[in-house]
Amino acid sequence: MLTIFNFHAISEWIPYISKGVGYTLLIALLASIFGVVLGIILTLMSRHKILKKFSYFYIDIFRGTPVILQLSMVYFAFPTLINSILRDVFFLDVTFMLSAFLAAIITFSLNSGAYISEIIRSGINSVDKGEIEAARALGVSNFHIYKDIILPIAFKNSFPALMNEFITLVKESSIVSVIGLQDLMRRSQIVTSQTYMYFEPLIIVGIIYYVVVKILTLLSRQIESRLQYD
Amino acid sequence: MIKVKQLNKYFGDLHVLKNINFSFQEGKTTVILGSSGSGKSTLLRCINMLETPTDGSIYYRNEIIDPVKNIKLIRQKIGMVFQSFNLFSNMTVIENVTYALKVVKKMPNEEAINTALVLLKRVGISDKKDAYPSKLSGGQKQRVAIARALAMNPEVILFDEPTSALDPEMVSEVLEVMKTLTHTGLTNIIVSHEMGFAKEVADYIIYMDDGMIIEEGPKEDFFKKPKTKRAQDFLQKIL
Ligand SMILES: Nc1ncnc2c1ncn2[C@@H]1O[C@H](COP(=O)(O)OP(=O)(O)O)[C@@H](O)[C@H]1O
Ligand SMILES: [Mg+2]
Repeated sequence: MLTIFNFHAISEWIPYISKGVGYTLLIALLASIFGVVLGIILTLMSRHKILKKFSYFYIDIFRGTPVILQLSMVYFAFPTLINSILRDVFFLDVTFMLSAFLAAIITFSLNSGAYISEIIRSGINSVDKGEIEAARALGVSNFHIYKDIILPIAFKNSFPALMNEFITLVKESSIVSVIGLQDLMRRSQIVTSQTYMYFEPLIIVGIIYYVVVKILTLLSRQIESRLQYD
Repeated sequence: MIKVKQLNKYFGDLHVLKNINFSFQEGKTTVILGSSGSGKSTLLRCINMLETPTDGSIYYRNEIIDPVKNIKLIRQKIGMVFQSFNLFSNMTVIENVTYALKVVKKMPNEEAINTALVLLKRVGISDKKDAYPSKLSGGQKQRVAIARALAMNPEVILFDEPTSALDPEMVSEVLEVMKTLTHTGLTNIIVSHEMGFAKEVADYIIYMDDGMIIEEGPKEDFFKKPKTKRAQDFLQKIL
């Protein structure tokens, strides 16, 4: 008999696969927190005469190359580089290593920082210049204009894009399986190697991703509607 | 009250204000007329330093207005009402009016609210005090903007075409409010194309063309017979 989806066989693996969602969410969460911090720094730098060149260069590079390349750089190439410097320049016999988890956090933070900086920049640009002028005309200081007008409105305007970036991180973090981190994708591969089932583990992983993304999307809409000023 | 001396303003190579000299009298209403692009807004915006003059100086009660040193204090004395209202979109009506009282004048919340309530009543919009600007009509927005400017208890208010962005049926509600501000000791400087209104409330008229004041004087003289050909043509076209 042809079995398209062997639920019986996969069911015992579901708890094992599901545990991978922790990695997925943790990477997305930490990377977006660091990404916001980095994004703010890059945005501030872009307002500086000289530092702005660096900021643009950084954003250009990280948006212009695939994440899998960036991850491989951080996880494989970067430690090797450090090690040869330690050995050949400082004559030290120590080995620098980066755990797969740390490499994933670093890569996705650096990567989302570039995207988030763009989001913050356009959020700030979306604030009506007239409102800022009205505040200036009342004698309000720049500090208060930023704190009470520009940032709240910019945050509200860029919230959907920020949430979208978070959802992208949730999905894209699936490539950490290539450096052996036991996220959802990696676990499905492990199940395949144990059971020779290809279809079932992937379907389970697909469902988990879909549900997580759906929940995040609905949550984001909820928050968005609360943020409207009306 | 406000004295403009040898004021010049360039935007790049564009000479927008050409050697402007004028004294705005305390407690009077001056209406600035002139076709679009003649520099009216720029003149107004130089007074409160939203634009930095290229050359020349502006005095407020004999004190030079400096874009760094005293501008914050002077801006508290000079209110401004914009063509596009420019209400703070993230604040309710009452928050719009109390905001500068709290952060600039450091007024306690309760006192700021009481001040705002009185002013919202004066411009006839108390019932909308908790609404966000997005829920108001243009006329209502502009009345809130006037209340916001009045809240700081200014000595001067600059109006830059306050009714130009309004639907015709809302123009009069705003003009009515503005009329109540004349002859109260407040110095009004108004850019407007509403000739009937100018005729009624103005004490002085300035007529600008191509960055220059080409005619100025008491309203009676101006409307009876402008001295210059260009002002005559302008009136002919508008009336
Ligand atoms: N920020 C600016 N940058 C460049 N040109 C400007 C700017 N603001 C105004 N101008 C120009 O200055 C001239 C006068 O403008 P404005 O003062 O707004 O005239 P008005 O209010 O009488 O219509 C116009 O030619 C306008 O295009
Ligand atoms: Mg104008």
